[in-house]
Amino acid sequence: MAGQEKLFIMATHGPDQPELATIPFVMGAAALAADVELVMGFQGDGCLLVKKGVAPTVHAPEFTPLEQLLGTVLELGGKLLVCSPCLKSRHLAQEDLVDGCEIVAAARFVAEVTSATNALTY
Amino acid sequence: MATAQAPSPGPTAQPPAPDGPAPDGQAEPGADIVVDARGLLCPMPVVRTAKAAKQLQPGQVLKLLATDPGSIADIPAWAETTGNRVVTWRQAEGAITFWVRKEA
Repeated sequence: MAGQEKLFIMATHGPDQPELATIPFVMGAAALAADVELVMGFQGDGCLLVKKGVAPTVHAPEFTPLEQLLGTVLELGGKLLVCSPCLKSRHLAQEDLVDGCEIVAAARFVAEVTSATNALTY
Repeated sequence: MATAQAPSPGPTAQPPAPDGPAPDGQAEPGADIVVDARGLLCPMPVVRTAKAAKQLQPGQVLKLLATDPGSIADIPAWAETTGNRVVTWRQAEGAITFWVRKEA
């Protein structure tokens, strides 16, 4: 069993690149299905993926729609951490994000990466 | 959208067969629960399988129907990671069918 494993995934691409925006969630959902703890980070335009109303607009060809993947990640207990300065530079705040997001800064990201079994960046 | 079905009163699962597609004409193993993931794309067949497997007791068998060709690699990988076992699988009539035994 892989119950003690933890995967950190950083998403940096926004809805203008639907495939690269979707793949982090595909990997995250697959990890959770395998009982791997999941923490996802969102920096740069990746922050836009967890802005309310954005996920339903992202559907890369031959991929599960982002809205369904986001819902699956949240349902299965994935943590969503969003970069504070990235949000501020886009004039976004907590109330603009989907439920379940936590706004964090660099030190928290470093702590999550260094405590993870593996980390991926998209 | 398809969802996991309640356990069916099907026959008791057969002894494990070697991993791989079953030859035509071979009797299907029994199943305690059926997951219909046809039409779903990666990773949803695995997600549906994982959720349904949590309803099973060790030794019970889950039958998965899928059409995503990635399932052929994904389901055995998921089973190995989670300590479960693919009893057998087959591909016919546009669908991929797995029988997975809950081991842990």
